[in-house]
Amino acid sequence: MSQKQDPNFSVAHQGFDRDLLLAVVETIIPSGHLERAMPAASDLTEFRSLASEEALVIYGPLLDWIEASDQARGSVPFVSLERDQRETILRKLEEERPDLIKGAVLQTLIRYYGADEVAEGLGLEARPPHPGGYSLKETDWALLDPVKQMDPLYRKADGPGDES
Amino acid sequence: MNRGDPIDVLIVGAGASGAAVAWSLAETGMRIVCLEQGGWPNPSDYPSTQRDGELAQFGRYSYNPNIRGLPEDYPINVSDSPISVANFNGVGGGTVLYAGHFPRFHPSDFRTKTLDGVGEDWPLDYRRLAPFYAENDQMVGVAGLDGDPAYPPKAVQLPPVPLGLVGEKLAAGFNQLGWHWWPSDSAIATRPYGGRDQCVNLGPCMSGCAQGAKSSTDLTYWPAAERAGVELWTHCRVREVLVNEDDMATGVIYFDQDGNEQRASAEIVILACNGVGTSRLLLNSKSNRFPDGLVNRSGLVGKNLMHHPYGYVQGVFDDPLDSDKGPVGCAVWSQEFYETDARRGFLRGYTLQSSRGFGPVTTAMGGLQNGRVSWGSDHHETFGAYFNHIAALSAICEDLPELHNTVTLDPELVDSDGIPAPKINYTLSENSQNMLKHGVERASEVLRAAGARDIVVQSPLPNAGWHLLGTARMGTDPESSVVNEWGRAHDVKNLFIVDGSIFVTSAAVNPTPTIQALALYIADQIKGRLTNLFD
Repeated sequence: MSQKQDPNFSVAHQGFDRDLLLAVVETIIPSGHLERAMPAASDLTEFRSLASEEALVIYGPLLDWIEASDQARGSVPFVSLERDQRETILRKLEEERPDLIKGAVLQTLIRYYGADEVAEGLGLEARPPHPGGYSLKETDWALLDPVKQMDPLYRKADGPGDES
Repeated sequence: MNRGDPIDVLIVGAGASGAAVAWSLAETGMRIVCLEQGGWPNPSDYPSTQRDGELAQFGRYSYNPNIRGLPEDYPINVSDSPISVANFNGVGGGTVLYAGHFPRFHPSDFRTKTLDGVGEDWPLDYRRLAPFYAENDQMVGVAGLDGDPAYPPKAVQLPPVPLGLVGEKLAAGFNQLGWHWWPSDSAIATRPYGGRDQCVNLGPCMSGCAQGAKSSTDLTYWPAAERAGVELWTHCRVREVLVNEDDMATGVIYFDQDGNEQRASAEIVILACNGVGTSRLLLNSKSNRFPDGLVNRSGLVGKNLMHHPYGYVQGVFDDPLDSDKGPVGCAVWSQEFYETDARRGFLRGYTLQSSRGFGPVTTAMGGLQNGRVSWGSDHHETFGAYFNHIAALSAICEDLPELHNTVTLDPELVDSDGIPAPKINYTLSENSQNMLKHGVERASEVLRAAGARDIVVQSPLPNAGWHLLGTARMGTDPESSVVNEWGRAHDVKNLFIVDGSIFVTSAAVNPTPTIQALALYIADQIKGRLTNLFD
C-alpha cells in the first residue's frame, strides 16, 4: 500500500476510517505487473476520494467487522499489519462470512478496472470505444479451403418441385 | 393528419417485425400508424461512447427489462423459468440490443414433423419464404460469404465481419476436427451501406451500436417507412385490442406519454410485440366474445413458448487474442450438428456460434464469479491470464414446442400504467438437455483442439431469453393454431400477427431474419388480397 497520505483525504469522517478502507482495497488488489506496472487499488483516486457515504454503503459492514475484530484481538490493528497478514484475515473471513466480503471485492474490481491508470497498465487506451474504434487483423481466408470442399450439409425439405 | 383521423392500419410495436411490415405496406397509400411503448434510442448515449460505459450494460442498457426498469419497460415474472427474458422497448425493439447474428432457417426447419416426428410442420416452406429473406437482407445489408455448404445458395451484400484472432483460432480448431464452420451472416455494415457508416469494431454490440453499423430497425426500416408516410407514435403503450360483436377488431386502447387513456380506431390491427408482448396484449384483451383472451378460442395463446437454450463454453488460451475488440457475437459459426442424427441422443440440432471476450470490467466480474480471477496476492497473475485470452462458443439449441411452456398474466404484477404483466413458466425438455450436453461437449472439443488450456462452462445460460417464439403459432387448422398460413387470426379476420409468436418451431438459429421475412411475406399477402382481405 502506498504510504503517502493525501491531506485532502486523511480527514477522518465520523464513523469512517479512510486508512482502513485503503488497507482493505490494497489487500484485495495489491500492486503488480502485467503489460506495465499495475497500481494497487489504494493508489487510485477512485478509492482515495471515494465519498464516505458511498464507501460506507459498499464497505461499511466489512470495515465495522474489522474494527470490532481489532478490538477483540487487542493487538496490532489491521491497518498496521503486513499485506499478507491482512489477506489471511480476509480469506478466513471469506470462508466464515462471505456476505461481508463478496460485495466489497466485486465493487473494488469494478472501480479498479474502470480507472484510466489501470487501462493503461493493461496496454489499453483510456478512452471510450466510440468514435475511434479498433482495428482487427486481416483475415486469413485460406482457413476456409477445407470447408469449401464439403458436400452440402442441409437437407432438402421443401415440397414437390423443391429447388432449394 | 390528426391523431383522431381514421387509421387504416394500426401496428403495435416498432421492433424487427413492426418496422418491416410498416415499410412494406406503406406503398399501398393507406394511413398506417405504429404505436410504440418506448421512444427513439439515442446512439450518442450508448455505452460505447462513454469511458465508463462497460457498466451500463448491467444497468440502463441491460437487455434484461427487470434490471433495466425504465418507465417504458414492463416487468416480467420469470421466477418459474431457468431463462430470463431479454428485450428492448423502444423504436427498433430487440434489434437495438441484439448481437446482429443474421442466419436464415434451414429448409428442414419448416418440416420437423414430417422429417423427424417432432414439433409441427409449418404451413409454408423455405422456398416460399426465400424471396422475403432476400428482400429483408437487401434492406438490412448482410455481411457474410457466399457458398456456405450448410445452406442453399443465397446472396450476401457485404464482406464478412473480420474473424480476428478469436475467429481464426476457432476456425483452426474446427479444421483440425474436420467440422463445418463459416463466417457468420451478420447484420453489420462492414462497408458503408444504406446511409450507415461501417463497423469500426467497437465491441459491445449488445448495448447498442453508436457507430450505426449494426442494422437495427430504427436505422434501416423506420427512416424509409417514415419517408413513405408511415406515422410512428412513440411512448404509446397499448392496453388492449377492441373487438365488436362481429368478431372484428375496431382499434385499441392505449396510454399516452402522460399516462392518459386514449383510443385509436383502425380497419386493420397488426400485432408486432413478439412472443411475450403479443401474448400479454391478447390475454389482456378479454371481452364477452373472447373471455379467455383475444383470438384464443384454440386455447393456444401464450402456449408453446420457445426460447433457444444456450450452452456457453469459454476457452482460455495462452496467446493474447484481442478478444475485447470486434463485434462480440459475430465471427464464425458451425452447423456441423444442425440436422437430426438420432444417434446423438436427441432430435433436431444446434448451431455453434463464436463470441469474443469482454472489456476489463466485465472480464473481472465474470472471472470473479467463475473462479478464474482471484483477489489478493495472485490477482494480477490470474486476471492477466484471463483478460484478452478468451474465445468462446455457444451451442444455440432448437427448442421444441411444448404446451406447458407458457406466457400467462401475473395475478399481481403490473407495469407503470397498471396493465397486468406477463409471467413465464418454462422448463427444459429432456431433448433440450441432451442437446445442450452434446453441444457443450463438442464446443469444448473445438476449443481444446484450438489450444485452449482451460474451459469454463455455463449451461443453460440464464440471461439468454433473447428469442421469444411460438405463443400464437401459425397453421391451417383453427383448432391447433392462432393465425392462418398468412398471419391472419383465425378468430378475428382483420387482426394479424407478424412477430415471433407465430413461429411453429424455433429452428437452431437466431430468429430475426425469419421474423422479418415472415412480416414481409404477410405484408405481401395483405397487399395481394386487399379486395377480399376479410373474407
